[in-house]
Amino acid sequence: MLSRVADSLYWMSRYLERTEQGARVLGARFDAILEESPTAAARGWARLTAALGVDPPAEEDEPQTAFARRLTFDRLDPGAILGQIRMARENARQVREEIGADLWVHLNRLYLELVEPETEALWQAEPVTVYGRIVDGIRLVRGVADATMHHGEGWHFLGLGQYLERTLQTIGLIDSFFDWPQTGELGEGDLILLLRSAGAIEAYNRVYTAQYMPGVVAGYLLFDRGFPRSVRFSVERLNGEIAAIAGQEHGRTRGPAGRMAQRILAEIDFNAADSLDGTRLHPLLQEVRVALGEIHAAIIATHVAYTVEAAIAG
Amino acid sequence: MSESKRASEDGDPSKAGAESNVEPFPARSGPWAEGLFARYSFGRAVDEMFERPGVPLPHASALYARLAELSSDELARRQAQVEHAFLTQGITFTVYGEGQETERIFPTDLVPRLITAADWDRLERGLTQRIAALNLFLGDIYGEGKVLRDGIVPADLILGSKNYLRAMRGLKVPHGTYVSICGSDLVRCEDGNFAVLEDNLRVPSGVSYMLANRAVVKRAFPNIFRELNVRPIDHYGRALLATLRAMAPPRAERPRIALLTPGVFNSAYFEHAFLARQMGIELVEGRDLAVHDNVLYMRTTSGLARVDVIYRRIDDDFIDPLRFRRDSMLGVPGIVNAYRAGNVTIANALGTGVADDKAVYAFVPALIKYYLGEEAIIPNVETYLCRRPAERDYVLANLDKLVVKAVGESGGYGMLVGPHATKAQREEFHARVSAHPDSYIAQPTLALSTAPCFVEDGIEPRHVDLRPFILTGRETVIVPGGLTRVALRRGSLVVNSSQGGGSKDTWVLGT
Repeated sequence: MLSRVADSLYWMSRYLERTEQGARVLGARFDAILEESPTAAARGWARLTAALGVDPPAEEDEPQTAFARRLTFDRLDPGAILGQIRMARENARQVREEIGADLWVHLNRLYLELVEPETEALWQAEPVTVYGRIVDGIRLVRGVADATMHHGEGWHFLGLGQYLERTLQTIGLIDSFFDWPQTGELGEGDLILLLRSAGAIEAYNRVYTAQYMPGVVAGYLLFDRGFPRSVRFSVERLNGEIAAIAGQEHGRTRGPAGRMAQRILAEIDFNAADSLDGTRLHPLLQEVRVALGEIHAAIIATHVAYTVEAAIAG
Repeated sequence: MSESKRASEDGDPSKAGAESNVEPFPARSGPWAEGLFARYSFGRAVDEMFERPGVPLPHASALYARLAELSSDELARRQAQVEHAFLTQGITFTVYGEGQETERIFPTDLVPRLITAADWDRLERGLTQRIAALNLFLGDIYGEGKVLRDGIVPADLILGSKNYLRAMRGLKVPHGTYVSICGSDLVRCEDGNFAVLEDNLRVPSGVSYMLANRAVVKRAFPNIFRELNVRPIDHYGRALLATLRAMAPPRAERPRIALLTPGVFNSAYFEHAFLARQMGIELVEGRDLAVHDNVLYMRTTSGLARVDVIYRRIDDDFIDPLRFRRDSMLGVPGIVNAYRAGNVTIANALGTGVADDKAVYAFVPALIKYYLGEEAIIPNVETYLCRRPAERDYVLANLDKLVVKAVGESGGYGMLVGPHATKAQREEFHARVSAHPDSYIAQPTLALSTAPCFVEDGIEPRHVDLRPFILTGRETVIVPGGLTRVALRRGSLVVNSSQGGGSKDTWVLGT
């Protein structure tokens, strides 16, 4: 397929994943806010900006709701929910022939619903409902992609973007809560909020029952092979997508991206054997993050941004 | 009913209505008197639905009866459905300004325009004849130049045209087909007959609206659609693909075909993506393509892949920065050399614009006679060439009655509609035509036929034209239908989408 198309699919998928996680984190934040002390709330918003990788409020006294509205409805800010859906939509618009009419229509509808003034009015009253709808809307788009697209190279580029972004998001989320040296302070409420933000609370309870210990929760989000948003699970899928994309070429090995993904898996499995503490957690997360950056660079260099001369010679 | 029969039955159709285009017909009774059609008015123009006030043409009586049953609320609901379908499908264009981007749908009207089987039969034969002559003409002027030596068309008009491309001289194109995709603009004149207003031989657009209109309008009127035995058009994509395949260089056994778009900011981008999807071909931009050793490649995730046919939706000027505009970022450096080497076919061929020039247009009936030995089945609109002194003087003396058009402009720009122009505008055109007579033509102000359109809470007549799409590879295929463009403002004659026009579905009736 066209390199540009692969690139657009990959980014469309990354933006969708980023939006889904952003909406989930914001929804969990607003859900928690009713029962929080002001100090806890301030710490919560600080964690949120760290997890989503967005700038904290420019002015210290910007009200939290104004800040949250910006993070949700600013359609020109690539850090905001609407800005990201807009980017996903712009990428989708340029590859409509690849994704098919159904997928486009659902993504377009999600965008059009969000820009309606009624949505912002609803958000004023019921922010959690709006974030829930956004998450649902993206799940619908994903479901339509799965059910209607040809599961070929383009579809694998969607998977590549999805799982690479998902890994980054889960890492960011864990890191924002386990910001050593405060790890010891994480209470049950924090851990529940972390699991909610990861969409993991019910899945976790099924495995460990409703008992929350920092090491266990972090371990679940990092190492669990069955939870679909864990780092282990996401990198395993990412590895599969890399292999699928490479497998469609003649006479090429998995190359640097595949080797990098397998190295992350080995690293994770090696660390999973021991119990976690804050001193090891952050460096491990950082290592995975760097490796993901290298996977991204390797994929782009091999499939998208190569030179004509190199391709003719090769 | 044939066009000529219709004209003779009605006698002089201009007498059928009042003199003005907007004056309501006085005597009304029954469903015609009140309700949806209460504001329907008649003028000089013939109407696509009514023989005379309150009396539908025989082929339109079923549709009229159905419309008369509906309330305006019901029509408004269906109109809203149609518009919603366009919006969710992204059949929109973006208006930029002051940091805001607004997406608008292309205005569409839900009342279909009907064309009889007999009318269509004549149009099909006439358009096939016309494109055959135009392709022969292009082959001639880029080859031997016989038509110029024989004095049928003035040589300076062709060789001096900015649209005549020397890069095309002596180049053989498959099947002698220069124009694979043509979108001719037809109008129905006061005598009830169709005439060709313009040949669009470069990159005609609008076919996606023909298809999108059909997809939504047939659902808005499902029963009447079935009842009228409307001929299908949804095979257009397959017909286009077959045409492009036929244009592949002989070397390519399984040709790879790509649609070249200027990109997402182009107003026709929706159409480019739509057609690529319908055909299952790649939608490429200039940056996706590269030429190496006169071979055209596209950049894929697994390396370079050879491309055999380019369906280009990008103008000549922008297609190759090495040949034409050096500042163009949209084109592909070296693509013209690959084309000249016979390694890739570009459709439409480059340099076809020389033949849809507004001055060359006047010669098309003569070209049909010259190349085919036939009379033109569909006439031209009477055209005055200001390059001829006598005609120029006539034009200058009658600026208040004529439509003056700049040669080499398209999209409704550079145009004077005499009867609607101010004195200052007419004076400006007087000066321009006097100074550069070669650059202008003039035509009588046409009373384009009107068709019923749903406007606010009633049905009113609006002026329409018709753009069918003519496909030619080895042979010519015309999907029975076309884009009916509508001048949405009351009394306006300008149907171009860039100038506030809309469109409606066109139903060619089966026999």
